[in-house]
Amino acid sequence: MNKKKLNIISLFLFLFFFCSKSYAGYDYINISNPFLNKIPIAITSFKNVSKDGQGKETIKEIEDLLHHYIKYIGFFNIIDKKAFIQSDEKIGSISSEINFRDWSSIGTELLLTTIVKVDKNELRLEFRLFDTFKSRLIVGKIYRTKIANKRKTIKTFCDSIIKRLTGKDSIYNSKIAFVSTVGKGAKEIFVCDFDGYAPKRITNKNSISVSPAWSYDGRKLAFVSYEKGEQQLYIKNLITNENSVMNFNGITIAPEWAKGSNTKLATTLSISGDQEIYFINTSGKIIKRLTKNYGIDISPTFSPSGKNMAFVSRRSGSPQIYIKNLRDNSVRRLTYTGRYNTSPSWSPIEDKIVFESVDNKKKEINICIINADGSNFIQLTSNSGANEAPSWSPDGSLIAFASNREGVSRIYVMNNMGTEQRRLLLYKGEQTFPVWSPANIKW
Amino acid sequence: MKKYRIRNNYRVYYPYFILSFVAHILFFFMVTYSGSLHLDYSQIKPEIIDVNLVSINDKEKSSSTSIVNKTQDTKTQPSEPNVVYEKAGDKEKAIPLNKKAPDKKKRIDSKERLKNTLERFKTESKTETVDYSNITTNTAIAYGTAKIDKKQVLTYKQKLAISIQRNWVYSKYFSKNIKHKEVRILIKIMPDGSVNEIWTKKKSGDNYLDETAIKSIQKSIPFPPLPKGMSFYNIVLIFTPEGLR
Repeated sequence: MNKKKLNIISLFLFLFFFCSKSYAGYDYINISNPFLNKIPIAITSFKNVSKDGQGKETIKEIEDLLHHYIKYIGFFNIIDKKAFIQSDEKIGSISSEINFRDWSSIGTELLLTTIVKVDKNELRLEFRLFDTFKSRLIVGKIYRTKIANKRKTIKTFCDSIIKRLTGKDSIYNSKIAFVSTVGKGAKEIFVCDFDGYAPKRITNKNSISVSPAWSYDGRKLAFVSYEKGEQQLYIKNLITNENSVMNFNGITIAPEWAKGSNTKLATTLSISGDQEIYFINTSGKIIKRLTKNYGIDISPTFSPSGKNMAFVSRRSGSPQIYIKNLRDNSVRRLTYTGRYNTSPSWSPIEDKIVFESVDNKKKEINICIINADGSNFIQLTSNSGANEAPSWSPDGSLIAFASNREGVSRIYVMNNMGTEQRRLLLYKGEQTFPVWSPANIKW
Repeated sequence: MKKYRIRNNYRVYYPYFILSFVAHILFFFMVTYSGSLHLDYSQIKPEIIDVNLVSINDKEKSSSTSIVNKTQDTKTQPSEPNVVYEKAGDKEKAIPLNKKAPDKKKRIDSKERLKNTLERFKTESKTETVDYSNITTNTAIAYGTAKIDKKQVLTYKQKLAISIQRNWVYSKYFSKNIKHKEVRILIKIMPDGSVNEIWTKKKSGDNYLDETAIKSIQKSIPFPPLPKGMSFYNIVLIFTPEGLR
């Protein structure tokens, strides 16, 4: 026994020394700062295999659309075609034709090839997405559809790329609701695609409708309207076009659906005299009172887990953002900068809150972002007039907001670092209050 | 061992049989009726016909990451790295990872600049690396020979770090949500700057991070040639995407 023990001990000792030596045998370099955060992708020209080369214009349109969609979400960097090693005709579309070294050597990590066939009204699209370093097909799809469905088809494909690469839903099937002025003083609610395409009027009340809010399944839109002279809460089913109206005595402002719910809303009511936040259900019944304090409490927004609620309160004098833990009902103040901070919107994926902040000196309103624990305060806009009502995209990568930087108020989109600010859409009237829908809208 | 007796009395099982029979029929009806009620006609003739492609001929063509670039005659001429470069250049078609060697003049310029920065670094603080000065490096394993100017090695390290970091593309949207992840990759650099071996020493638990780290190394190959006298250089690269907010 003793001999055995000794043997084991000596073996361990030997291994210990051996390991320690080999550990010290390397030099180390720490690399902690990725230089780029956009994945380089090469998109080859579409290969037209249709008879007599018909449908050139359609193909050009589809190509532009594909570039637009891939660029829009800000995950990819499309490599300029001038950098391609081979000329357009020689580039293969299927893996046996492709020389992957040609692609990895120009630094691209992804390669997207397309074969397209147009036959009168019919469209056949063959997409292949390759990993150039592993020489492997990542996503391959064939679509057969009518030309009229091209937008939807490309969206479907782009969505499948993102799902494959990130494992999460993309924003391609999401929509943005916003408020726009119509005619003389009326404000109506509109809905458009994630990239501002095809704005569609939802309300037709000839009065003021504001504060749209999407239900979890994206089928219902809650909003506040002044149609009958006083504030009423409407819930519109966007599929059946049914309206349900709720009338509470007094003020009703800024409804927001509870996290993951299609039946429960949080909204500010003044039934107790003071403006407080309540949970109500879709038939107008009050479920629970959430705030109880002197001074108004408005604009509820919920954390991804639904356990916390951020809201605006005037309990300390000026409007500031507070966070309430819905479990133990504790409340803490989040913002201290600026004159006042309003319109909080909690990121759908992480503990970050974006809000608008009114500066004391500059007389401008800016979009700012802060972690839910109060750290990492960053101002995202500057020197661009009033930037208001921020709203997160469902994947937490983009922020939509309203700004009057061009004189009239319009809707803009930026990524969550504040870069790449661009106008969402050009539409008559003034647009405010953008609200991004959940990821998968099927209508 | 016990022996079990099989009873021949089938009557015992009649009620079970009847129950099962009824349950089957009930289940059958339920399935057929519920199916016909929820039949969605739009699913029979969809707007877009969507077919998934599966690759058949992509069987590990060249996906091996363990051996990226093998130049056989590297050890023979450690003192004349330029010759090796030319040879590697000839093979560019076969081994396209060998990019063109940087100009000698430029290299000298950058060397001087790096020397200056090095002195500054010395006075200021530790450089990009973790302070491993407490660990006695076994130079025989790290560089091959023990008599090498440490300054030169440090400059070389600096160059490596810059070139790899410049090629590192990493997006947090593609990665798993894990806190404090790091991947350690061991590479063996030959005198001409080519890489003989890439080996993931410690995975991070997030495939995406591991892949981007390897890609960044593959993109920066070939590295500048090793300082004179070094027959090879084993180095561990620690990637931590903490620079992202």
